[in-house]
Amino acid sequence: MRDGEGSTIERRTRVRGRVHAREPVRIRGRIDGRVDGELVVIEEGAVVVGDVSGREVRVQGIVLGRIDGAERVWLGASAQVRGALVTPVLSAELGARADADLRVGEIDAGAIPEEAESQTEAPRPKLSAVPGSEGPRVVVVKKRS
Amino acid sequence: MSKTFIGPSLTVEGDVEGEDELVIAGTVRGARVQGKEVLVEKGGQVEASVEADSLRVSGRVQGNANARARVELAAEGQMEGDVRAPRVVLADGARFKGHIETGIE
Repeated sequence: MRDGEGSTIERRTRVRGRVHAREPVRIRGRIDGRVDGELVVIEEGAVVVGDVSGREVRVQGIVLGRIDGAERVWLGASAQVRGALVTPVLSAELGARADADLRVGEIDAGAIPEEAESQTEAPRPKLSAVPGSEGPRVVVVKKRS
Repeated sequence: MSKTFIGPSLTVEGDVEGEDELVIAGTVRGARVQGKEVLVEKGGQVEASVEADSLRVSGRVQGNANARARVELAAEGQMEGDVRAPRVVLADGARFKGHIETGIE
């Protein structure tokens, strides 16, 4: 995403409410509320307190809420995420921080040897709601520690 | 000065405030829009009260406007609401419904 393309919420701008975009949106300021978009870029220094969803979500700032990337989520080295993260493809740079319920892609059960499966405690999904998220509470699989 | 740009296919349901230049080509529905220089471009829609140093409207504003310096309604602009500013410009062709208060010396 180049500068000048799509929408930009600048550093000294604050939005309280819902942002819905059918174009790339670059966030450098603060949003208290939900963000829905196509390509959502949350830059270093930006803060989103609310859920973020998009085809692709790129984070270098702070997100407190659930991130839902329909195609992929990228966490940069300065990213900090607290809440939940659901996407088929996740990439994260060294240094990215997350305290989040995580669901990335689907586990291919056929690829796991039976005896290995039986030797480990079967993953027991713990259903939880995301604290602080807006709108309908979401149910996600608790990350395994 | 950096510029917050709300593009044509972006909608904010809520308030927007800050110290950046604010260009609205999309839609803002809320209680309050606040910025230094606020520009509502052609196709842009604001349903909220606007506070700014200066406001220029080529799109549509429904709500009161309070500017410290100037409000300008361009020829293709539409405003419905009360305007308070030391200087107010209504271009030929602009549509306006409301009261204007510039103050009297």
